[in-house]
Amino acid sequence: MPPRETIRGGVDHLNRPFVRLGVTGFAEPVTAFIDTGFNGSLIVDEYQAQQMGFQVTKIHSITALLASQRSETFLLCRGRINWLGDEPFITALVISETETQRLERRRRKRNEEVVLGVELLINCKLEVDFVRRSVSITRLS
Amino acid sequence: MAQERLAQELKALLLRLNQPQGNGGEGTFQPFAEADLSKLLSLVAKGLEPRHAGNYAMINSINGDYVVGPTISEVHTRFIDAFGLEAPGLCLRVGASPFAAA
Repeated sequence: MPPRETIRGGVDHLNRPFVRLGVTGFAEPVTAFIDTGFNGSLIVDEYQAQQMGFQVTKIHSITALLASQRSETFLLCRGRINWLGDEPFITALVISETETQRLERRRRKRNEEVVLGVELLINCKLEVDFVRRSVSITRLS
Repeated sequence: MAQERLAQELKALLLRLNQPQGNGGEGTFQPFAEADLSKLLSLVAKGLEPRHAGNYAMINSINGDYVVGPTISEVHTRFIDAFGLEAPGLCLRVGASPFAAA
């Protein structure tokens, strides 16, 4: 039986589960916050999408209804990511913002941050231990 | 009957939205205004809801044709396979939000 691939992470000071992802185009691992209420694959910003080599098609967008019932529009981009020993071709959502807004949003952040949805967790086991503040994602098939 | 009226409304809206404007010449695509976009999406969503609730639809904003799929990645891939990378498209989830019920 082949060894199972696992990605590990933790729970931050705001109690948000995250994993660290090695992503093409970034020297340091990217922090991916896990959002089990988001059934897409990834939410990134335009800079991150470009660094990852994703093709941002500005004529393709999605109108998503958030949990707050607010409607928000994202651009769509496509590309491959390294994911648990595989390289799936995915569509990611791109935050629509200006460069000034991005700089303001990132002002106090040290790492690049993305949102990871459940589309990439299909066939995986996700374990979040809020007591030990640990997270693991293991591929099961 | 309701479906017929919906189809007529959609057709009329698309015709109006795709009218060439300014110096663009015949057939030049003009981006939708935000209000028009919302109306178009809501019309499509209403028409798709009986059969495709919970899925995603991506509509070709030039001709109103659409594809449906269970995930954003899948519907986006189907859209590009069907209409090409250059076709402008809008994606939406069909049906009420899972958070809408109390």
